[in-house]
Formats: sequence, structure tokens, C-alpha cells
Amino acid sequence: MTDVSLRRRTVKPTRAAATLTYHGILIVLTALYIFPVVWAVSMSLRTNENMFHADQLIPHPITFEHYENLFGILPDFGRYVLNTLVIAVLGTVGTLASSSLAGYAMARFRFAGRNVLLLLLLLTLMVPAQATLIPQYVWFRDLGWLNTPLPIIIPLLFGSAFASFFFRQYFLTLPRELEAAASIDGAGPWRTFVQVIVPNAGPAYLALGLLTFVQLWNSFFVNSVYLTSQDSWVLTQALQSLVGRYNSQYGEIMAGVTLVSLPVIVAYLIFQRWIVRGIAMSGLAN
Amino acid sequence: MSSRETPHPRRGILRRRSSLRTREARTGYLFVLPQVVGLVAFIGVPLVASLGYSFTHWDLIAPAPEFVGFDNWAAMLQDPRVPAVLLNTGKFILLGTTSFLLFSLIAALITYTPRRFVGVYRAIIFLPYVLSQIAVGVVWRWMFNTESGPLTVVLEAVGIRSPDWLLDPATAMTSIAIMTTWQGIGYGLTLFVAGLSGVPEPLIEAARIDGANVVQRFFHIILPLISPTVFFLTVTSLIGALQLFDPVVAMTSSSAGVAGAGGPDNSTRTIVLYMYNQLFNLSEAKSGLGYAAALAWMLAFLTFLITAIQFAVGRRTIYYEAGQQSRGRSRRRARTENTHD
Amino acid sequence: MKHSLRMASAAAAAVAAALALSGCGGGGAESSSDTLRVAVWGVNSDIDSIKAAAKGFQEDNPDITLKFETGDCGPDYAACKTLIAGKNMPDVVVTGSWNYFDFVRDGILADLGPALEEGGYSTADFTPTVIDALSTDDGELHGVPMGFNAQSLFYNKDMFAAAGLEEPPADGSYTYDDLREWSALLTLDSAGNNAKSPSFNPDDIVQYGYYNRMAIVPPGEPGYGPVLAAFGGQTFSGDARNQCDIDSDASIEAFQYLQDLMWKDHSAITPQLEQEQPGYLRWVEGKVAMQQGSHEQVQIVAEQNPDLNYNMAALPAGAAGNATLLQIHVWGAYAGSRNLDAATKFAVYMATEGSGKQMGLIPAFQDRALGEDFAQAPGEPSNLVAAQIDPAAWPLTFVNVDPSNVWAAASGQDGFGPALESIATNKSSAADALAGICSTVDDVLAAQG
Repeated sequence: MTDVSLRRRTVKPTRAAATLTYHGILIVLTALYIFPVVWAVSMSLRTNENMFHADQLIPHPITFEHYENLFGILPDFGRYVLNTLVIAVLGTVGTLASSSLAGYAMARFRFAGRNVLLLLLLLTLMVPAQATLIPQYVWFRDLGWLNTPLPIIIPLLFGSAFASFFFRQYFLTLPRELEAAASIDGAGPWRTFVQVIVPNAGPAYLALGLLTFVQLWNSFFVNSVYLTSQDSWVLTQALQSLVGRYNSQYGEIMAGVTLVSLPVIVAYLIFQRWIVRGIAMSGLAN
Repeated sequence: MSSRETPHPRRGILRRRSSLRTREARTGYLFVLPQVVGLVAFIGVPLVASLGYSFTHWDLIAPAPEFVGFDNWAAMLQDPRVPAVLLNTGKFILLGTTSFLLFSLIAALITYTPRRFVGVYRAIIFLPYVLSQIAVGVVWRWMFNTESGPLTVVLEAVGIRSPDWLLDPATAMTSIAIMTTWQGIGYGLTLFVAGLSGVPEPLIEAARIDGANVVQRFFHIILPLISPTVFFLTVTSLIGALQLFDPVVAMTSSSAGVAGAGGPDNSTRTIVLYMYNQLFNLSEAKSGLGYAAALAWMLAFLTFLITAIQFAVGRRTIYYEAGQQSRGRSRRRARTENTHD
Repeated sequence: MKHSLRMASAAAAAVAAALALSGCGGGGAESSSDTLRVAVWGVNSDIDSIKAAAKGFQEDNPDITLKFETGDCGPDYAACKTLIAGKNMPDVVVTGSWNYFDFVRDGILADLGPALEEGGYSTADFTPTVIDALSTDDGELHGVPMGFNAQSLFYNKDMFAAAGLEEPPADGSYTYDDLREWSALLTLDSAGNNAKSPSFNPDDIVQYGYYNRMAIVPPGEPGYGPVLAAFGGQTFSGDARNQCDIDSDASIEAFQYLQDLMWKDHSAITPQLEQEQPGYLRWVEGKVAMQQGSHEQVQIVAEQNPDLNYNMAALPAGAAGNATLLQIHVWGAYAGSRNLDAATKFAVYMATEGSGKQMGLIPAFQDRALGEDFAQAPGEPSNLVAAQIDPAAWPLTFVNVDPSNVWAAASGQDGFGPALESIATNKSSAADALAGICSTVDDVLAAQG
């Protein structure tokens, strides 16, 4: 008895020290790691005289003038937010709907060509977007869809190879008992999918949904090709125009950067745990 | 009494099974229909069309493309800039992709054991991944300045003469690699953590009791068990590296815009950037849509090749646990392994 | 089956929503016969100045609606090409002298000669150097000047006074050697030593003498242009301005001069310093004594540091004489516009009746430059006319435009861009960097096809 208690008492301080060192190192590492982001926000709050002073992290005095000026320079900021939201939301919803259907089918139904389809999907992951961009551009031009978000949203409504593959991996991990219970009730495949499978695939939808949303929110290249008139711009384009036209206004640029990044950061912080769970449970890691 | 009235037992079952099968197949086809349409319409057809364009010369202003046969392809083979941009991309892969994989794994190893606040650390590391390339480019451009940039300050504090980062052709690509690695570690970390959480703790314990040290435990137990994750990340990050564009533009564009990007002495001009230049630059006889399409196809082919090599290597080196849900071939192999026991 | 119907209708609703929303946001695809789409660019005050000038046209032509669109098409030719390819090109566009001939070669801009005549004007109504630069070999005019800017020397009066130096003569009657001397005397370390004193510490400089945009890497604006011309060098020579001349002795000397100012005298802003904080901002904040800049600086100072005590002077003389660089913004009408008449009319109006205050440029029409629109506008430095307007008439003054349309390619990353970068960053001397550069440039020119 005494031996055990003695042992425990001597082990504790070492473990405490180890934990302290661990957290100490990690705090320092992550603080250094996040420094550029903190610096960007700091620049957005500095006065112009202090802008390049490397010695202060938290500026004094703090000013919000750059945020005000930003809305002066980009009076249509609200419209850009709307444009970006339309693309991000519709694109995400479309991708999730079509890809989960396809992924489920490849995981559960047997049909001729199933493996060929899987292989094709994986192959398309290797095709660079630039290889298909040019003919798509000509096609959308002839349809009159330039300067609308349609060229970006419509292809997503038909699924994305990565998402379909992701869902397939995930649905493979769901037990077949789920469907068995539903089919006993006489439910057809569609009802089974909507009422049984989807609710059980929450983490997957969340994980992929967030990743897709973030990707669409931040995308620049494709948008810059199709959305040339300023009315149809998304936020990344507005930001880039700042750098081009007002390249001396670092405060305003950083204010723009902070505002544009804020929604995705918040979304990530809220859903972080589900994302990890979703990815882990998809078996994609395997 | 015809044979139709007397139910033949086996034929009835067969008919039921086959109609079940057909129904299953039909539902399957219905469910995959959107994705298949998407594949054909937005990838298949444009890909073939792109190949077609590569045999033409078109500046997008003339009403229709002009057929020029293999001119673009011949030009590409003789173009000295093609190997140059391939080299640049190769340098990025060597520096950026490898460091991404390495540091993601290290970060995951440090933070995957459940401890307090570990989720917070991971969240902070993931943060840069959700920022847009434009934003990151602007900030890092300033960070890389050699007068007061933090990197320079740190180096000089330890007595090393700081390189000129984005101003020096020798270090410009390295600078871009540093930035992309910084941004990507969070993503790799998340995947590795998920993979590591599938490594059974008792296995490691058993190894430790058997006297295996940290290094041995890592290389003989952990690494094989997460090899599928390593494979997935390697394949996808290589594909991404071959298509590098946004960070280069964000870090090296000039007042001439994208046209001036490509870094000091073209040291950061990647394949896609070159393609973009050719698409809009008509001060050269060969450039335009056709040549850009040829370059795009070259890139696609290169990507296929590199990925195929990886899959070939992967078949021999990836460890799929028997009984795990995994892709076709491996599942068959696992099943045969089981039956042999 | 009911469910798949529901799904189908949900999908249709989504697409309809997208279409509806995109209908709210889409830009105009084609102009109706009453609307004139005008592509403009620049900071907000630039755009406001254009709109203000266009009011007169609107009043004269109430049946035409002007629709201004902001974007990159104009200064960036690739952006315009995208619009043309998308059958979405505006009717009127503002190009720059640096890419004007790109447009002309591709036939994008309509000939404005007839419209000019109709309005009762002729080329004689414009500043000669400027209008000559926009004429093609066969005398056609595909663009008319919105205005131009000239490079001048902006200097900090307080710093000159503190160093006991006379201010530079406004008419440019001083030399680049003088400028080098002053630059060194005006570069101070924290102990107050100037760059000529033996105890000068180049690692501890608090005030710099000179800023030239050659320090911007990757190269954009040719800040070296005026220096090159004053030394007797050029980037291109010949009637068609397509003969590479950047490796001539005079050119090399000019570049070496600029490199020495940065790296030998330590008196000029280097690319490294530029990356930390742009040189012109340093001048505006009162940390640099002299900068070569355009009239744009006046506005920037007024906005960011109105207390700055400064003035301007014409650029100095080199071995060959005085020279400065003009950049022109050009009004052009899209040759494929459905409203070609209205478009050409508008372009001509903006360059003549409407000219004056657009984008802070010097008007090139008649003598408006000397009037209230420019020279006599309130708040202008006292030496404005001598520093900005008179130099346009110097024989060595040139415009950054090349009829053979080689500038972008030859000065870019495939031409002599990298050579200039290595000069600016002190990687090699001017002679070494430019040795044999013309064969590279000639290759680029040959690929023009």
C-alpha cells in the first residue's frame, strides 16, 4: 500500500513537468505559426504612420478608419458578399446532393460499370482544371452565361468527383442493418436514402459541406475568368482589385482581408470537431 | 395445364433474383445519373474539345479557330521555356510538397493523443487553410521583405545573413514553398490525425513492452498503418503542386498584373502560369488558345503519368489491413489472405 | 416516384433561383442603341473626375445614356481580350500609351480621324509630342489623348534647407551629377552624418536622398526611362522603334548610374527597401529627399500628408540633354461597337471639350494645360508649369509607346526584365547584365511572327 502511494507521489511531478513543457512548446509554436494572420489584422487597425513599424504587434493607437474607408472604396461590398454567398451556398448544396447520391450508389448498389465509374472519377481528379477551362469558356460564352455565376454553379450541381469518392468511402462504413430495417418497412431506395441514410451521414455532409464552402468562398481563378463585370464580382476579386488600384492602402487591404476571412474562420471554429470526425469516419484516411 | 400455370420453383426464384438485381441496377444508374452527366458534359467533352483546340490557332477575337495541324505540338517540343517551367514546378515539388507532408505528419504526431487543448492547437494550425490565396499573398509579400520582415529578423538574430527571398531567383520558389506549406499543414494535419486515431493503442503498447524505441515504433507500426493516408496525401498534393498558380500570382505579380508574375528571372513561372500567359499573349506567333490547350493537355498527361507511377509503387508498399473496407483489388487480396489461413 | 418528382422540382427551383439571382447581378451583354458603355479604371477620384467631365457630353446629347463600368480592361489588354472573346466589350475604352498599339495592331480601336474632322478639330489642336505618339505610320489616329503625365523631380524643401543646399532649378538646368551629389548629401544616418562623410553608417540610415521606380521589382513602370534618354541611351531606336538599343554604351552608363546611387552611394531606395515600404510612400511621409514621379504625387500628398513642404522641378540633364518620359491615357472607340458613331463622338469630346481634369493628367488639348484645369488649379506647386508642361517639348522627351508593339514582350520576363532586376538588386553590374541582351530581345521580336 505504502509502496504504491509513494510511487504515485514521485511520478506526478515528472508528469506535470512533462505536460507543462508540452503545452509550453505548443503554445509558442502555434503562436508563431499564426503570427502572419495576427499581423494582417494588426495592420488593419494601425494608423498609416505606424503601418510598417515592426516593433508593435498590438497597435497604439488603434483605429477603425481603414474599415470605414474600405466601404468607401468598395461601395458595392454588400453586393460582392451576396454574389459570393450565392456561389458558395448553391455550389455546396448542389455538390452535396449529387455527389452523395452517386457515392451511395457506388457503395451500395451493384450495377454494371460501377468499378469503371469509380476509376473514371479517380482519373478526373488528375485532370487539371485548366485543361477543361477553355472549351467550357467558349461554350458558356455561346450560351450567354458570362458575367453570371451560372458557369460556376451549374457544373457543381452535377457533382464533383472528389465529393462522390468521399461519400462512397463514407457510406461503405455504414452498417447494412440500416437499410435492412427500412426495407422491411417497405421503403423504396429513395425513401431509404432520404429518411435513413442521410440523417446518419451528418458528419460526412458537414465535413464535405464546409470544405466545399470554404473552397468556393475563397476561389479566385475561375471566378476571374467568368465574372468580368464589376457587378458580378465576388469578394476575392474585390480584394484583388484593391491590391491593383490602391496598392498603397495597406490598411484598407488588410481590413478587406480580415472581413473576407472572418466568416470562414467562424464557420470552421464552430464545425471543427465534426470535420475531423467526418474525415475520419469516411475511411478516407484509410 | 400449361407450364405457365404451374409455378416452376427454381425459375421463379431466379426471376425474382434477377428482377431484384435489375431493380437494384436501375436505381443505381438513376442515383449516379447526375454525376455521370457532369462527368461527360463538364469534363469528358471539354477534354476532348481541348485536344481539338490544340490543333488550331485562335485568338478568341477572330470568329472561328484556324486549323494548323501539329504546329502547336511541334512548337511545344522546341520551346525552351517548357523545360524551364517544368523545372520550376519540379523545384516546388521538391521543396514544398515534401515539407508539407513532413510537417503535417510531425504536427499530427504531436497533437493526436487526446489531451486538453489539443483541439485548440489543431484549430489554430488549420486556420491559415481557410484564408484566401490573395490575402495570404499580400501578407507574406510583406513578411518576406529583407529590411524588417520577421523571417529576416529571426535569421539575423542568430547571425545568418538573410537571403533576398522574393527578390533572388535562387530563393523565390523556396519562399513560395514556405508560404504554401504554412497554409497547407492544417489540412494535412487533419487527415493524418484521423488516420492516426485508427492506430490501435494496444499495438503500440505491446511494441513498447517488447522494447521497441520511439523510432522503431514509428517506422514499423505507425507508418505502415497510416500508409493509406500518406498515399492519399502524396497523390493529391502532387496533383495540386503541378497546378500551382494562385500563390505565384499573389506573390510575384507586378503592376503589369499577372503578365508580370513569374518571379525574378522567371524562377517562379509554373506550367499553369505559362499557359495563362500564352492564352492571352498574342505577341508571339504560336501563342493563343491553341497553344494553351496543348500545354494543358501536356500537363494532364504529366499528371496521369506521375499518379500512375505512384499507384504502381503504392500497390507494393501500402498496407491494407485484412478486413478493412478498401478499394476493389485490395479487398480481394485481403479476402484471399483470409481464406488461406 | 413522388419523391423523385419532388427532388426534380427542388433542383429546378434551385436553378431558377440561381438564374433569377444572376439576372440581378449580370452585366450588360450588348448595348442598346441609346446606351454607351464606357470602360473606366483607376481610384475612385479618377473615376469621379471622368464622370464629371462627361456631364457636358450628356447634356449635349440627352438621347444617349452613358453607362460607366469599372474594371481592368484598358490598362490591361488581356482583360479587354477576354471581354471581346465574351462578346462583351464596352463601346468606349481608355487605354494607355504602354499598350495602345496592342489594340491598334489587332484592329480593336476605330479610326477617329473622321470624327475629329466632324467636330471641327485637327491634330494641330493637341500637344505635338503627344498626338504624334498616337499616330500610326500611315497617319491614322485610333485614339485621342485624355491627357498625359510627365515625370518630374519632387523634392522636400525642408531637407534641402537643412542641408544648406539650393533647391534644384525649376527648368531643369542642372545635371544628373548634381543630383547624385545632392542625393549623397541628403542621405543621413542616425548620427546626422551624410553619405559623403567618412563616419557614415550605411546600416543605420534614417533619411534617403533619392527614389527612382527602377527599385520596383518585378519591373513595372520604366522609372529608368528619363535617365536613359538623358544619358543618350534608349531601349529601342530606329524609325519603327524596334531596334534593340539597350546595350549601347550610353544605356549601360545610365543603368550603372542608377545602380551606383543605390548600392555604392547608399543614397537611393533599393528594391529591398521598396518591399518593406514603397519608396514613394516614404517620400510622402518625409523620409526621402527627392523622387522622380508624376503629377499623381500631388494628389497623394494632399490626401496623406498635406503638411509636407515640397516643390517640383524639371528633370535634370545628362550627357545628351534634358529628357522626360510622358505617359498618355488614350480615349478609344471599340471598332466592333454597335454604337460606333456615338462612341467616336464621345471619345473625341472627352479629348477636346471635356478635357481638363480627367484622372489628374495634363490636358493635351490646345492650351488647357496652362489654365485653371491644371496649372492654375488651387493647391498646385509653384513650379508646376516648368516641371510638368514645358518638358513635353524637349527634343529628347519620349512617350512610352512603341509602334512595333514590342514593349510588353521585350521588357517582360522573357526580354530584358530579368537583366534590369539583377541590376536593381545589385546581382551584377549594368555592363554584365546587359551584355548580349539584345540577342535575347531580338529573339522575342522575331517570335512576333
